[in-house]
Amino acid sequence: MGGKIVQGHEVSASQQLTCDVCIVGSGAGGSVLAAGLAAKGLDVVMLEAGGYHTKADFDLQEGRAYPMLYQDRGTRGTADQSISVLQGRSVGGSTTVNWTTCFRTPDRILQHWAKAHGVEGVTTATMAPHFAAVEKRLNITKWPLANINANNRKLYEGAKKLGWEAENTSRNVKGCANSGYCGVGCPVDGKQAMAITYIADAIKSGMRLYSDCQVTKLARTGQQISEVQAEVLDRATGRAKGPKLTVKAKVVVASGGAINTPALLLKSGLNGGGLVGKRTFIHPVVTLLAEYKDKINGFYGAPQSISSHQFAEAEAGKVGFFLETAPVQPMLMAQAAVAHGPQLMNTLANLPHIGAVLALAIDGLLPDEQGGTVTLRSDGRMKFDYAFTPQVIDALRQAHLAIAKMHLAAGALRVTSLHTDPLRIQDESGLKALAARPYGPLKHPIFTAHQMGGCPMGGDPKRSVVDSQHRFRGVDNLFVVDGSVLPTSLGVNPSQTIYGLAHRAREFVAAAVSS
Amino acid sequence: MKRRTLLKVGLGGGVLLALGGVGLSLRGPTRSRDVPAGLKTLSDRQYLTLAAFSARVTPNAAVDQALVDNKAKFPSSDDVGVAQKLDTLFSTMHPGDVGDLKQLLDLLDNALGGLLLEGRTQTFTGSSAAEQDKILASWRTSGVTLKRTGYKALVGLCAATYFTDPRTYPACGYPGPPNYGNATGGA
Repeated sequence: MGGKIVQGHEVSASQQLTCDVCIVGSGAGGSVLAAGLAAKGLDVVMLEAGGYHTKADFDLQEGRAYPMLYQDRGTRGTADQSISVLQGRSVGGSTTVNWTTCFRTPDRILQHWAKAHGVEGVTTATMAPHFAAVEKRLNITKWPLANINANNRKLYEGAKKLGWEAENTSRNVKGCANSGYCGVGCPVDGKQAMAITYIADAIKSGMRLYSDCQVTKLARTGQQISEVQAEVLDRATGRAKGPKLTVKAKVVVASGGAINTPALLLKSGLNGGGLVGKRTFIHPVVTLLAEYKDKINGFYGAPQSISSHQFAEAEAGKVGFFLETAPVQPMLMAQAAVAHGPQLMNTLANLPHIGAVLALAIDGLLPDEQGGTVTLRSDGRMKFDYAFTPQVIDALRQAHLAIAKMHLAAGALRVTSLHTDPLRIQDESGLKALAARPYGPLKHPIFTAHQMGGCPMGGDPKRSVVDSQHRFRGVDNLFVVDGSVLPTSLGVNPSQTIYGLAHRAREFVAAAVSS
Repeated sequence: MKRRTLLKVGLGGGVLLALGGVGLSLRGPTRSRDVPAGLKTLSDRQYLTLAAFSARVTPNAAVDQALVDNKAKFPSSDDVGVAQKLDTLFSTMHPGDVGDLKQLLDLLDNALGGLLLEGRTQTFTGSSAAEQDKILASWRTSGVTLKRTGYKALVGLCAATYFTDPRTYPACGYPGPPNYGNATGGA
């Protein structure tokens, strides 16, 4: 029997639902899990705070897409505003708006999880069949070098000239139009996002999905989640419109993603011995803007198709980083610049000539790193703070130097640093001055598009929120299946790791239903 | 709480922000532009402050034509209606987040706040464009967390809103997104 998607505007009265499994969140984790459970014949209810959107809604205008498809209308950030947080919010979660780059989890990361965090059963060998399955379903394949856009080609050519490793990435696309607008919703369903893949599969197998449905509390009775409480939102205003949903399920799965899942658990009084919300890692991102003589037109073409991991494996006691690219579209660039007046206007007036390469610091691997922390304000709002260590700050400095070298090697006329006191350099003689610039929060723009952790998996109850089978410690019928379980960041884009872990988690959640 | 601690409170901390609403600013806003009818979130004064701030974030005459090969002219922030669009956006955001932003605008145009934060006696809306530019520059690089945080929040909102308007695309040299015939209208 087929399931259904019920949108908020279709719910006019409060409802009570029962099911085998209630999944809170419809992103990379929840969707892969849901499809497997529904295919086994389990009765699955999925609740998603964001709206349900199809390609018909995606007109590729940033001004419409960011408030519609991102958390906090596209304005999410740390409390001190030092980090802008790009995180999706719709049916499909961040997969609706991510830039499609896929990697299997690096072996060195899985080994670190086993050794430093006691994670059991998550190895390159045991994950291989799970990764193979999601690669097949999502058509994760190498994007041909011949199809990369000029912005990515600059990264590729600059890196190769310097003798650095650089490679074309794999993407979850089928029939990609190479438009460049992955971040605002794919207009042709080329991106194999969750809404058109695993969620569609789950619906065919009978899942009921409620969009515009904000879960407010996981109510606990003893060692069980007794019900999931939610309120239906008016999509236009984001406010509760009156009706409430109450779901009684044998098993409950939190899949709202890093930041949101910890916030929900905290609202529900489930603090995991004080660990929930801590150790949130984000791959802090910095960039420089490079100006090229020729037009790059980086607003068009697959936004991210080259990656360099030349500096990913840092020497002992240091933090590594990796290089990728960003689409050069006006709003994103204006946000990246964090400037006003002539500096901002002259940058945007030159948009077709700008190349944008990002560096993502690989946080969470050093013993003393605590990363970000999710807490609740007195009025219940989520608060996110991030503690920069000297090692992460030094990685941002080294990353800036690497990006500048790469652009200059690729033939850039100028490279601008985007500091509050920006530095413009035209050759490598300027690198010394760049290294001397201040680095850290509110010294220059910092972004994150990869949120990981906050409910870390591990073998030690004193250091982990969920065990190696995703079960929340202390609550028998609660699992966490999303990016929040990652004990550290990854050094690669996290979507495929989350898909793979969710695929593996199917058997644990299914077993809990029948136990 | 000591003043030094007060000034370190970030956006959302709310302590210093609350100064903007205590009514100690005896001067009204300077009305150099009209306030549109039917504002959803902002007071008239908050609207005027935001519009004045936005005009200095994206001054359309600031482009150095010698640096760019694109000769199209940017519209003004008022032409694009940045402050009014933000008023609408705010009506869809969490009231607590919007409350913080409104307090920040109150503080920006509050003479006492200006005096405490940077020793100026003039309100933001009552300052000249050159003086407003100095205020933005000082907030950007300030040692006071609240000012740097406020700069980031307000500049980000104004710049994002301005550059998402298709009327700015020609001057960016941006042809706009391709048209796949997809509909508009969803929230």
